[in-house]
Amino acid sequence: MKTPALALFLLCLFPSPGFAAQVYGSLRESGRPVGPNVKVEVVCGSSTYSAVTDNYGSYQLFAKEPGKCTLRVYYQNQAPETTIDSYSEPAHNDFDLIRQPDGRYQLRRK
Amino acid sequence: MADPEKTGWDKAAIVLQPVGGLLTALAVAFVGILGSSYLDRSQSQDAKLRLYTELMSRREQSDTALREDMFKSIVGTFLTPSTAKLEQKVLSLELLAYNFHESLELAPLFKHVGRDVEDSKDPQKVEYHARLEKVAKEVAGKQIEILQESGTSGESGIDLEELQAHPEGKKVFDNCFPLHSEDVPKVAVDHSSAVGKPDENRRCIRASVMEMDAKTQGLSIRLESTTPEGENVDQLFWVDFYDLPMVDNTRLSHDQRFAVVLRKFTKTGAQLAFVYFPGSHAGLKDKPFYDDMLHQLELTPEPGDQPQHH
Repeated sequence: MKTPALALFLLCLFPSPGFAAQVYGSLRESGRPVGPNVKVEVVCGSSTYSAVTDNYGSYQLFAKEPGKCTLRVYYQNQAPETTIDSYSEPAHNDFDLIRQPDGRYQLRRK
Repeated sequence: MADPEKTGWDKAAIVLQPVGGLLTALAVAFVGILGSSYLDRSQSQDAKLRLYTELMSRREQSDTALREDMFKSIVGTFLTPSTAKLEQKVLSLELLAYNFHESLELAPLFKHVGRDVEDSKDPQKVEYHARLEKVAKEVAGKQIEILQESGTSGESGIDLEELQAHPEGKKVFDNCFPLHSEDVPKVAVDHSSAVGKPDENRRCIRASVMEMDAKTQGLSIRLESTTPEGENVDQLFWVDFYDLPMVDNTRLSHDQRFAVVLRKFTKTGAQLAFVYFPGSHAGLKDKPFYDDMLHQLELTPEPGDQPQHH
């Protein structure tokens, strides 16, 4: 009885990297890359992971938890967000930032 | 009635009339000889070209027949029930790799034989494994040399211990090139700076190492390529020693290719090569798309035309 409990405890203590993976992709607006240093945040449960885009609007970050997460982009003083899935394998998520008639940005998956 | 006295012009006309006829005859003869000589030369050239084409075609046919027989007997080693010894399998794979590396995707076979070697209790298994790795590295090296003649290549290293500290991935290549690899100056790529004039570098290619697998000695690579025309390639794949650039590469617009090759792998680091080359130099298994071919035909200058930059 003690052995499985100990194994479970160790598993919780040292989560295997096999259960986590990268979330990566690119952000574009009107077909053009958004440019560098746009902050991208992925919130999975109580954990938050963030990265910034490179010169080509590309981002990549490492999310430890698989499952439903929220991806948020800090762009033009706004923070549009959408739901993504994080898997045990790298997940590709490209988004277009669509400007709505009221001036608000929306994330649309490519 | 006396003849009116002949003027100088009349006398000249009497003399020049036969001379004119003679000159016309000479001119006709000259043009005839020239034409005939040109035709002879042209026919001779055509005959030589026909002979050359015929010889090449026959050589190609006999070579194909030889290679076909060779291919059948080598592949037979792997497809028949496993009576073949490990030594024979490794030798057959070496023969396949050295002779057919431009036409075949050999990675699955390398991995299959590699697994056989790994599972065997043969005392020479370490030697067999080293032989497999050696042949793959040699063939990859040869292919890189061939491909960089018409394109360009560069190398970059990664500290695998540092990669553990960056689970989101580590960028190992970031460079901009002309849209056609043939236009890249024949210089070694310095991965920290762009090649050529900035306005010519319209295709920007980046590669990041995302993960590593020490057991299979493989790296997971994220490859991105963007052009102002809207190309947006973003691919994730694994690369190991058995992925050869001619047959295992990423297709880009304008019939161009980009390959990532694993050159070295140790516990602490890895060395990668990056090759940017035209699709015409990709392996035979990689057929060009029809629209790419048509595009190339439109752009190919006629002999004698001014060289045309795409």
